[in-house]
Amino acid sequence: MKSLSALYDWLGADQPATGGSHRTEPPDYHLRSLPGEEIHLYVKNIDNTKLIRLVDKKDWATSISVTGAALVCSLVVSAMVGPSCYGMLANRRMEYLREERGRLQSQMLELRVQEARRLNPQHVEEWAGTGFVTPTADQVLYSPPSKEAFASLGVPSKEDR
Amino acid sequence: MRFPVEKLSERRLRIVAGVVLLWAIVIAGRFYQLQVTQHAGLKAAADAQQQHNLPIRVLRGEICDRTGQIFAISIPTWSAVVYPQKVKNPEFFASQIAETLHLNAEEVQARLDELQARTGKGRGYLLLKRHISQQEITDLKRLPFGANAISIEPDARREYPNNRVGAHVVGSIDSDGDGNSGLEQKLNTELKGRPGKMRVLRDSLLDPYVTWISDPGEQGANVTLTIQNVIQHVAERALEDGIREASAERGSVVVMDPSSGEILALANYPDFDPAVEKPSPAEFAKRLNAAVQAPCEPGSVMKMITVSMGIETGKFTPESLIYCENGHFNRPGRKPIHDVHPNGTLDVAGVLIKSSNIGVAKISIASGPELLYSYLKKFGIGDKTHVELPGETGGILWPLDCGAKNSRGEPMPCWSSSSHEYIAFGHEVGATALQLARAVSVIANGGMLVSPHLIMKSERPHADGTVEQLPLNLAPPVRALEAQTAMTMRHIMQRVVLEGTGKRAKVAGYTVGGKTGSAQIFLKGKGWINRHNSSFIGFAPVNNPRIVVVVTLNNTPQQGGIASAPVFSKIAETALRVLQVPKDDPDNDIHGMPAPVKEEDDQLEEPPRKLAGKKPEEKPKPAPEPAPEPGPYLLSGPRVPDFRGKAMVAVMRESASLGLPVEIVGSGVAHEQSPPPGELLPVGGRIHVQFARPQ
Repeated sequence: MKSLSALYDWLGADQPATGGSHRTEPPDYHLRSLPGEEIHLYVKNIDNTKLIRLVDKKDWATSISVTGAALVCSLVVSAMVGPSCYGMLANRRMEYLREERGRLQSQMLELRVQEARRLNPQHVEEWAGTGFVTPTADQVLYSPPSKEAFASLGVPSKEDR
Repeated sequence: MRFPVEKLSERRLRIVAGVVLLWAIVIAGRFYQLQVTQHAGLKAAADAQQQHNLPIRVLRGEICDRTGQIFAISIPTWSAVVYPQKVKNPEFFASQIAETLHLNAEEVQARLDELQARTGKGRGYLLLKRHISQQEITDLKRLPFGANAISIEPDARREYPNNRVGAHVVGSIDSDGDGNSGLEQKLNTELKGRPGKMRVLRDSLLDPYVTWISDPGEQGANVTLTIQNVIQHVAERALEDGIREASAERGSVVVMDPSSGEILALANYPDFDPAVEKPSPAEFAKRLNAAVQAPCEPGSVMKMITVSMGIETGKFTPESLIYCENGHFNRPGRKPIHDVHPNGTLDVAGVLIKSSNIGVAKISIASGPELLYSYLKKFGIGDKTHVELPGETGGILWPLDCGAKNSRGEPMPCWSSSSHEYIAFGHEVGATALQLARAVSVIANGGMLVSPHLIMKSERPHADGTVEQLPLNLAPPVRALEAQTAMTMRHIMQRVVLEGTGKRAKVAGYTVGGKTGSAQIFLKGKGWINRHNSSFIGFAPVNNPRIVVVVTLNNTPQQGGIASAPVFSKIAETALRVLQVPKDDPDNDIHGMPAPVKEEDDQLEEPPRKLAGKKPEEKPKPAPEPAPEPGPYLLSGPRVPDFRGKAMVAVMRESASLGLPVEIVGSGVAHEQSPPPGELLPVGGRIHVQFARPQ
């Protein structure tokens, strides 16, 4: 058992002197012993050189079995809960997609209505005004069949008829 | 040795264990109570709270024309519904809801008060607003009472993108979503489909997270019509113009493919807006589809059947001569029959061309009433066409034999001893425009009586993406006339347009056959007035008719050749162009300029009651049309451009832009051309371009 100041001394016993001279007197910065202050440390030297590590198969097996059991349990729980959780998530996703599909279909229908409004002949006539004249029958060209022709455009000539 | 502290711990441990055990017993007991004794009730309550049986929304089917242009389509929307029995403070509720939905608060409150008083805060609901916007839905959900008193129900809005075009064919629906006219009414069950059922699990926020479809229902069938939207539009516009020019009250037009019976256009005037769900009585009257629901005396167009009968039976040939009594046909004991324009002897073709009442009456007398009746039936007069439109009438054709009774047990009128003489030229008989179109199709298609129809395709989409084709029930064509007789009649009717009363029906570049008709109108109290049901039935081209067109103008002072024939011409010209029918008479292709028409018209088919012993009154003759001045392009063709050295695409593009007919031979670049560049192209000629590979 040693006091704190003795412990400091013991710890610093083999340290070289910083000032180039050996300390003969306890330094001034040493704490003074308070009244009733005694710290007793017990230092025991343990010799581990002859210690041998032995493999404990029983404990190892126990650890493995516990770990395995825990894993199996978690897998079982996951297997039991997982599908329903996944199903719930998938259902929510499906409901979202269903709603999205309905919304997109509505948009598509609206767009088709707008397209039909713009394509109806009355609307085309209104917008085209005088710049779009319905051709009379004689202004329409068509391709009559001809023996030697690769392609043709226009009314048939009299010799073809 | 056990320390006292251990004894103390053990005792406390037992107390805690006892408490835990007691708690477990209580929990188990409560579980038992909930899961066993109250299981059924609680399960039902939970199901009611979490599970909802909802109908699967089914949209009404689309209606398109033959090109895919949409005539009617449904858009899914939402409507706000309130349950008055759940509204505790109507004044506050009305003020809140009116602001959100842009309604009148006082009106909402009044309706709520009325419904609450009527239902005693029991059952019932109030439709606040249909087709609300997404923003209004969001705002409604934010209201504190939204979840209880207000419900947002699925709804649908019916759109008619073509507005009034084809309104009498497509029809309309009422506020409940049921058709009330046209195909919307006739095909209501098919178009509407059948709503399915699904079970929905909702979470605490009422959002669905699981859905089971117990019954997928049936989607509304999509219907493709035989109508062609451009022809339909032009038919309606030409009809409206024709009615205005002829000062008529109303009219109908039917354009039909004579070989298949496909109706390409069916128009009536006045028309209506199909988007109006609650029409006024006056507006509702306009929904009468006169082309299939209102028969009228056809007048001289019926002579087509009488002459066909005479030729088919061999009693007459087109060259057989008939003495037309110089316009006054007296028969002992009967009222005389008159022709407005007196004729002496005419051949059978001339009888039709000149539209002689006396001539056809003599054909009918020679054939007898039984034969005429059988031919009227062969041409479909007096029988429904069974077109897919509601309220079709079979027209008026009294039975030949007296004593027959109608479905109500009342005796029906029958033919008198002289009926066949008048029916021969279109009196004492009534036919709709569609029946007349079917009758003239017999001539146009070589003698077959076809079934007019409006539906080309009807298919029902399924949830799995497949499409089910719905069957169409069409009666097969029935032979009514020999092909040779039909061909003969076609050429006689072509002469009606070339030489007779139908000159205004000519179409540039095409041969046309037809017959005019005018039936004077009899009004109770006023007798026979100077107003007519004027009509024109015709087909084109003559040798291989692709269309038949029937134009009927009601209550007009003008007769068929003046009032209806020009309408036919306009419609036929567009229809032939749209259907890409090659011109078969380019010699008469006079660049869209109307042929000058001498002012004459068909016979005035007045009944003998008025004309007996009287001289026909002079008809006021309309002012003659000024002869058009021919443009210089009629005398000389355009100058031929230089195509040499150009690629084929460039030649075709340039010739198309100039409207010049070209014929291309070979491949490569243009090597030679005839006529050479700079020359005038003869009218009706074409540019022959020889292509060759460059060396």
